[in-house]
Amino acid sequence: MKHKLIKIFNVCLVLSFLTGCWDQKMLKDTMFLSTVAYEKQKGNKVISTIAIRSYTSKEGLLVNKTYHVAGESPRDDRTKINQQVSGIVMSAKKRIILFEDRLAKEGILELSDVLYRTPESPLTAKYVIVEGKPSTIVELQQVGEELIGEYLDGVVHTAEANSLVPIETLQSLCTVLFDEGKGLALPYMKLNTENKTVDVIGTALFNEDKFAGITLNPEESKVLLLLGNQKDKYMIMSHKINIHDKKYVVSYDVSDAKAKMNVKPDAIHGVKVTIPLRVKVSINEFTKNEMSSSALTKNVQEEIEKVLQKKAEKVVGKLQKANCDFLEIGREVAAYHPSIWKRLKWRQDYKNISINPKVQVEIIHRGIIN
Amino acid sequence: MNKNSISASQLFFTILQTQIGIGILGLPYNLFKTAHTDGWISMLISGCIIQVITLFHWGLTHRLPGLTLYQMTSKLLGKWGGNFLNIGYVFYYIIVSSVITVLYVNVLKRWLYHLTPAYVLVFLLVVIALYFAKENVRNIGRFFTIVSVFLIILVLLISNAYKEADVRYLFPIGHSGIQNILLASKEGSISMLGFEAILILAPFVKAKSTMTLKMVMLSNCIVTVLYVYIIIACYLFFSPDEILIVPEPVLYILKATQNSVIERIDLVFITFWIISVITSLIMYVYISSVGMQEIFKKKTHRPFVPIVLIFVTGLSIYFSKTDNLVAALSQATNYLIYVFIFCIPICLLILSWIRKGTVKNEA
Amino acid sequence: MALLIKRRPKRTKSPISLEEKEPKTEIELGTNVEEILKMLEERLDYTSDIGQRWLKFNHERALLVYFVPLMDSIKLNDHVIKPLLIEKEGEIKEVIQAASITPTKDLDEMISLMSRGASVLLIENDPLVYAIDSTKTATREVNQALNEKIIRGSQESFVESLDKNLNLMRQRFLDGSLIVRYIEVGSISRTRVAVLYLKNIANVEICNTIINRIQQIEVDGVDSGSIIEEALEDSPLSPFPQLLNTERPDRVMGNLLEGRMAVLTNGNSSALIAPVNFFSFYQSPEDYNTRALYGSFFRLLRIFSFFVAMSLPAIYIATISFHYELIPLDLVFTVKGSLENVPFPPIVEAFIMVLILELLKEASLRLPSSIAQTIGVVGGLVIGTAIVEASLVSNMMIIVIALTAVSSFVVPSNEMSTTLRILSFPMMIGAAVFGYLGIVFVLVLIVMHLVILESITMPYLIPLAPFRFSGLKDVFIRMHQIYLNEKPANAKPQKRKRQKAIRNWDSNE
Repeated sequence: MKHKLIKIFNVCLVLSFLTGCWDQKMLKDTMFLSTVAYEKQKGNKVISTIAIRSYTSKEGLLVNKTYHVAGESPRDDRTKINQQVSGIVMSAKKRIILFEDRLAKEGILELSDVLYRTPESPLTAKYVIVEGKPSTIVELQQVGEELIGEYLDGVVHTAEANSLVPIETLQSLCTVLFDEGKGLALPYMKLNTENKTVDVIGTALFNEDKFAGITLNPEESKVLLLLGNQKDKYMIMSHKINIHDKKYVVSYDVSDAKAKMNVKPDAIHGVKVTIPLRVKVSINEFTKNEMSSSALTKNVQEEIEKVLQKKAEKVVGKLQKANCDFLEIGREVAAYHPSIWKRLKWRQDYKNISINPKVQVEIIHRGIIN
Repeated sequence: MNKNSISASQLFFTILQTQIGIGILGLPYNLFKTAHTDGWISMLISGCIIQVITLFHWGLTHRLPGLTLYQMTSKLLGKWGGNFLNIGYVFYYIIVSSVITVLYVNVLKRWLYHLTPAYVLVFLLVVIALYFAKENVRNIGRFFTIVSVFLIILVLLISNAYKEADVRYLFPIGHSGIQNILLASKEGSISMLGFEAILILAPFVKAKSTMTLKMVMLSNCIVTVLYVYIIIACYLFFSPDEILIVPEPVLYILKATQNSVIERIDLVFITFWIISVITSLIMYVYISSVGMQEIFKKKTHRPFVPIVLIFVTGLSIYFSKTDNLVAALSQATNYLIYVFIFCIPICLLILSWIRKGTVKNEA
Repeated sequence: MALLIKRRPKRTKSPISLEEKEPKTEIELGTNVEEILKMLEERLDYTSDIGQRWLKFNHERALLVYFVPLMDSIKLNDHVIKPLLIEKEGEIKEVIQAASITPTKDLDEMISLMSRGASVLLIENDPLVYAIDSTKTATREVNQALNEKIIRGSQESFVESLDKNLNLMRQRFLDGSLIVRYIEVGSISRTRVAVLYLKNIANVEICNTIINRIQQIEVDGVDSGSIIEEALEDSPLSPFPQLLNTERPDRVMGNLLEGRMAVLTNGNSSALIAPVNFFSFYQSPEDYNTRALYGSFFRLLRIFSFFVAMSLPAIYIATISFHYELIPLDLVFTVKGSLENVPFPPIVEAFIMVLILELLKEASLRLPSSIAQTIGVVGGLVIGTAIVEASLVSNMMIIVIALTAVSSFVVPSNEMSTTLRILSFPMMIGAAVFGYLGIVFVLVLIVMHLVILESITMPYLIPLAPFRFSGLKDVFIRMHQIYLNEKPANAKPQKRKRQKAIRNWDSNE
């Protein structure tokens, strides 16, 4: 009898496993979302433009199909898309999410909640703010031979590698948004109608999670990254300088940059921050065609210093205007000067503190010719 | 009992694996709620507290050598008192096993297997425990030793978090105040449960009594260091306000790391984590069935394992239905832990000192 | 627990009496030779292959009776008949020039000796009959090992004759510590089984256990070597083999030197080695014949192939059915594209492919060698390509299954390779039902089973299960012989020290 019971138990156990594979999601039936663009519509609705990538194995061609939906929130939009698609829509391979600047002004956190709450979402995706309507970008469908999803991903990655925009993924921006002592800056893009491509035209500054409306142009974005010690692999800058009253153009490669932060309490401003920035550059292009004397080199060095200093001060001004603490001064204060931190209300007082960048440039290489 | 014995190093791995279970996933979050980013200091303090309690437990096994916990209770409190306490322990361990199962099934359901019914996941765990918990201590020791290699993989995976670490989150150190830090160490102590297995395993260890103590203390040390490592990784990775919304920071870190070969490492991690959960589960089921064996005076604990597991299954299936029930069960268990793990062995130790003369003569 | 059929069956047999023999048929004193002959022929049902040679010896009639097919004509003519004819009288033992002369009174024993190739001399009025060994067993010559080829090293292999095998083994141990115990198994076949061990090295308890177990076998005949294996195993229902099967004498020699025992059966060209652990199946004599570095590399490769063979199809099925977010972006579209037109779920694809593979393998075993090449081409290229074109199976699946099949043949032991292929099925089913959780579930069960498994009372997963760090030197890598001064504890040998040093010249210079 005992044996029989055991046998019945075993059979029931095995049967219960065979009744179904509940969580099976077949790779065959899924449609991968490659990009989403969110726009604002009247009446607080959100329009999503979604590019879904399909693969036809017969000719080996890749095609995209774009969908427009209007709904209450991103997840609602997804539900509406599901009604039109012949498979299961899966956002696990999403790489770039585009936001219209108007929509971003109202706050991106409420639109991103679904991405943090569901386990399948890709936390390594990137956000991009677009000037104008991002649906036009997604409608491009293809740029050259690449599909729009890969293209956008590649563009942002290249911009990051060139130290044009800060590297922020969904996860890192959540960390920044939940920290009072840090500020968010995201890549800023525009559709280039002439070439039918997308242009990364700078960085968008955020006040908490709302787009502040203030952007930095490419030069200023690079300086911002230098100040924040976030230079990536390459950074090439070029600008005009004045040598003996003649204008020349110098282009250089920033090989090394170190920015320190010195925080001192200050009676008037609350906090006085000095940012000494040491930049080491290698000259790539100098339209004077020769730089043989060390006096000339020194001159060029000083001029570059002047230009960079001006830019740095401008960047800092814009940061304070936008109330964006990208340089993480707040976090420094909170960690090392807790008494000051307790006294100040950082979100309000950030505008009033004094930030003084001091740029020092050193030319280490001049290229292979003099 | 010479065939059924384990060596000192096997004891070390057994206790290590029993201690590392389901608690680590949510531990940084729990500590943060009370002690803010000083949770790691609380963890260190918990480590010390646990070492002290281990000394008490070991003292008990040292004074009454060759006896498991269940035999000790009968010896010190007489037949009826001992049996009563043993029944208490059996039920306590059944509940602890259910808590482990329920917590793990809950994590699985929320992160990976949304549609699979909870009872199927419970069955999975129970079946594996059923197959192995009826083995003797020697085989259990060997198995636990082998699977300890996965801990290295765990440590390596977590070290990814240090890439994006921001040290400033930890400063200023000690800002939450001594009181909060001490309060949080209560949480930490609960996550280090498992060292009390020494009360059951001590008679089987083929080594001197001091060696047993060294092994258990070493295991406590390593678990403390590992937990502190993981907690600091979480605190460096997330900003303080963010941790409040992330109840399982360890998994979240793995989800967010990017790799060129594998994308979502947390999937791999959760499925391998079942091994650590299974080891804890097997040990508690084993302890429970040994208790039943002692109460019913049988030769082996093998026939009692299915009975224990039926209870565990029933409890787990009931409590894993909603998130609220899960929380309620873990809360209730906390009180039981204080009674059974902290208070009673100390009382037993004091009792054994009081009855110094009689006990020593009989031993 | 009858759950999952992997437990050692309980011993409920009653002790066997070894003395159950039929009552002896005595040949009475002064019996007529012809009467004995008649009794013999009646017992043997007048079988036609008995030969008779009538002689006169000691002034009495004598008859030499033998099985004609078993006789070696030289031995019979020159060493038995010739001396009898020349000497005409004397002590049998001093006349006949044979190495073994067994006098007996029992008819059954006489028949059994005759079956072994003795010619029996019946002398009138002599109570004893003399069985003289003059046999020539027809057997294969020692040649290359068919199933265990290696590149460098000894190429000899065992044959079916037990004497030739023992010849090969005796040549390798010249100091006399090789001990051989004969045991007769099978009431009809009376097959001789030899248990070999080294005197001061092998563990006495294990030795006695093995000999005991063989002695207690009650069968009619040993027609296949696996009867001995099934009789000796602790858990015959486990998928893992607990005795190592080999047909190479150098492998047996290495194992004997480590303290293990070898069981050789007459009529079977492979030896069984016990007790073994899991990692012995992954050691090939080639590792020791080549340099330490190459040996280590190939060992690691084999361990890797173990994991691939067992779990690769399961991992693939689980990844594309449950967790495809794991695949990096660029690969996921390739995989998806290959799955586009396939109507079946991945588990069905996998089963189809594995089934076809096993069919091909079975068929190629029985093909005459002339057609084997063609069928190989047909099977491999045509079926493989055609199936993908017909969209029955995706080409990723074919890659996966082909890799799995290749990895499962990397194991030096044939049994273990079959084990791996069989074990991949529950893993595939687990993967198809639960994804990665199912794979881990089955894997944990397998590891648990391995921990419990024992090979003649030695734990199967040594040196991992009772963890012996020194034992790891020879498991995952093959360390240089300088470091292998002690025997591994795998077989609990009596003496641990194996060698003092092999590079004395280096330390003496």
